[in-house]
Amino acid sequence: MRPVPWLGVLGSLLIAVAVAVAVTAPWIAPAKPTQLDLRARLAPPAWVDGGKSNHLLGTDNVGRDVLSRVIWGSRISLTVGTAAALLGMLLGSTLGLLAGYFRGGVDAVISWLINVQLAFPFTLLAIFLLGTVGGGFAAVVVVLALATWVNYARIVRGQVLAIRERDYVLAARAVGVPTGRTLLRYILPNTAAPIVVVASFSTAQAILTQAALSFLGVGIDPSVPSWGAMLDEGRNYLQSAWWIAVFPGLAIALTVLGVNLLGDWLRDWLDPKSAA
Amino acid sequence: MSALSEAIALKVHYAVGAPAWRSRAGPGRVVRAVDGVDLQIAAGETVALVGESGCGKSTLGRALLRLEEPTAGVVRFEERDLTTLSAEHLRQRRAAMRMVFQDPFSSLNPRMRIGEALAEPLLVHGLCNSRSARERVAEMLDVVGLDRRVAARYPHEFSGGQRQRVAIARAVIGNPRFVVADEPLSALDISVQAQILDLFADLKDRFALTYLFVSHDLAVVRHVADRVAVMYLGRIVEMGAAEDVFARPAHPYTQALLDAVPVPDPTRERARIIGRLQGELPSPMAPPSGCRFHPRCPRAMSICQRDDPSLLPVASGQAVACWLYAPEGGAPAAERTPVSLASP
Repeated sequence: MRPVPWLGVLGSLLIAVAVAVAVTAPWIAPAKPTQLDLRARLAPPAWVDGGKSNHLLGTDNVGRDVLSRVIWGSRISLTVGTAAALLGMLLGSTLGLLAGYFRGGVDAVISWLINVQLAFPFTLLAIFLLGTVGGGFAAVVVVLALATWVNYARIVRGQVLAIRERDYVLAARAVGVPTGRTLLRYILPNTAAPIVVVASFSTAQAILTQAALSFLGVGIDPSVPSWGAMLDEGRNYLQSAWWIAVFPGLAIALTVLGVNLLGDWLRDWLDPKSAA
Repeated sequence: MSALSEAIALKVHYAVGAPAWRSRAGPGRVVRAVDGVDLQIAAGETVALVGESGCGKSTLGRALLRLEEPTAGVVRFEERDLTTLSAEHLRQRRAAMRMVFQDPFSSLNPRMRIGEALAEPLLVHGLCNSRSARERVAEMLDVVGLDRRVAARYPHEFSGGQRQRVAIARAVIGNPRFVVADEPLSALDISVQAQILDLFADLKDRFALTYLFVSHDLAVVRHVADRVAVMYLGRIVEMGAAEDVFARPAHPYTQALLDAVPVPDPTRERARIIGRLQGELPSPMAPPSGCRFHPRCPRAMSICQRDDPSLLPVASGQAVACWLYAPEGGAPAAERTPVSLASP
């Protein structure tokens, strides 16, 4: 009987709450996220002096309800973060796997791509791509996946270079296991731990980068609330109206914490040695 | 009887360090792990390949299964040249030829259950569907002396001896004909070694297997082998029936190896020529001229420094690569004078 993984439970709980909020946003949000209340501009949270009871977490500079925007913002932030991290994982892990296993020319080409990607300023690339093809959800996800695939590719490549020399990979070859099956059943499962770790910080990176893109005006329409965009808007009012930036920031921090705790636990759970 | 597995003039060389075009120090160095070996293994026999570590015996074992890329020469299995087979045909041949590795802690995939690992040869060669594979795996676990229920467990839950049983089961499931066992006992406790050795003998009878047993442990070899091949620095220097080689070793290197085996008889123990084999194994990157053993040989002659002896039959039945046994016409008498003070 293994001990209860409390941190894993906490991580799952945080993610579950975030997902539940995103799914039920239309019902639990007290107001529309775009609705202006100009008489209550920059109202502080309800428990602070001057706070209004109908704006629990206060309002922003044009009087939009911060709580409602945090609730609605979870939708974009979670979907973009997850989709970008998964796409990046698929792309990066596949390329890393191929580079590490086949080495030679395949590795040279993929490593060159990795270096180009690392050397090229990502923001410039994102502005160029989103500027030419236009913003929108799918485009932003693809651009964010382009930002994160390198993380996976580098780590997986290094891991595979070590694992392909293990006796059990040679044993698979000696038994007649085809190459594709060797990659999927012998090599990939043994790179799972670093992939999970990279995934948990890449999700966080994707959520934050998506915010930066919205701020630059090339991402998803800034009028659609997202945690990142709110953080950027609130930046200017940090001295006078801290709540505009702090609450979406807190939402990002808790979600990222949840993803990381969940990833940590998942890595342990995937390791047969811990399942005594 | 035709050979089941056969190597002809086989060479396996490795480049070490940077490739020649990148290296400023000149052409890349080459390790001559296997450097011209002829070996035939007949169906049903157990051949032991012995030698010091670094002599190329493991490389030769792997090359016979074409797990190493030969630099030159031919490797045949059941009369088919493995070096010219396409990757897919070679993969299909692997249903019939297998390998047991030295270290059972690294030769099993840590993320694969025992049952999955054992079903793998059956599934990849289409010998079973996954349902009947489960039954075959359970039977095989019985045969190698493990509980059927271990199929659901992972390798890290087992001891070295148990893991080696799993690795052996993986090597013999699905009726292969030829198994190369690369030092299969040397990572195990002494108490477990005898059990695993018995298991090898049992499986050979049960499945009509042919073994190549790579080992540095002559006591083990004496126990299992029908024939023995002694390797030194990439070459076979002596080969013959096990009883002949052990009773009347012909090559000075084989004599030295046998002298190094502890003898449980104190009078004979004292009579052993201690320290007869001097020095270290020379580097396989720069093997000595002539006979490769001559710098360490107590009976080296002038011809040994210059000319490489070939493997020829001698009176006692085995084949030996040594000028001591060359026919008298082979070299002028003057060249047969010992060069060292060690008397024959």
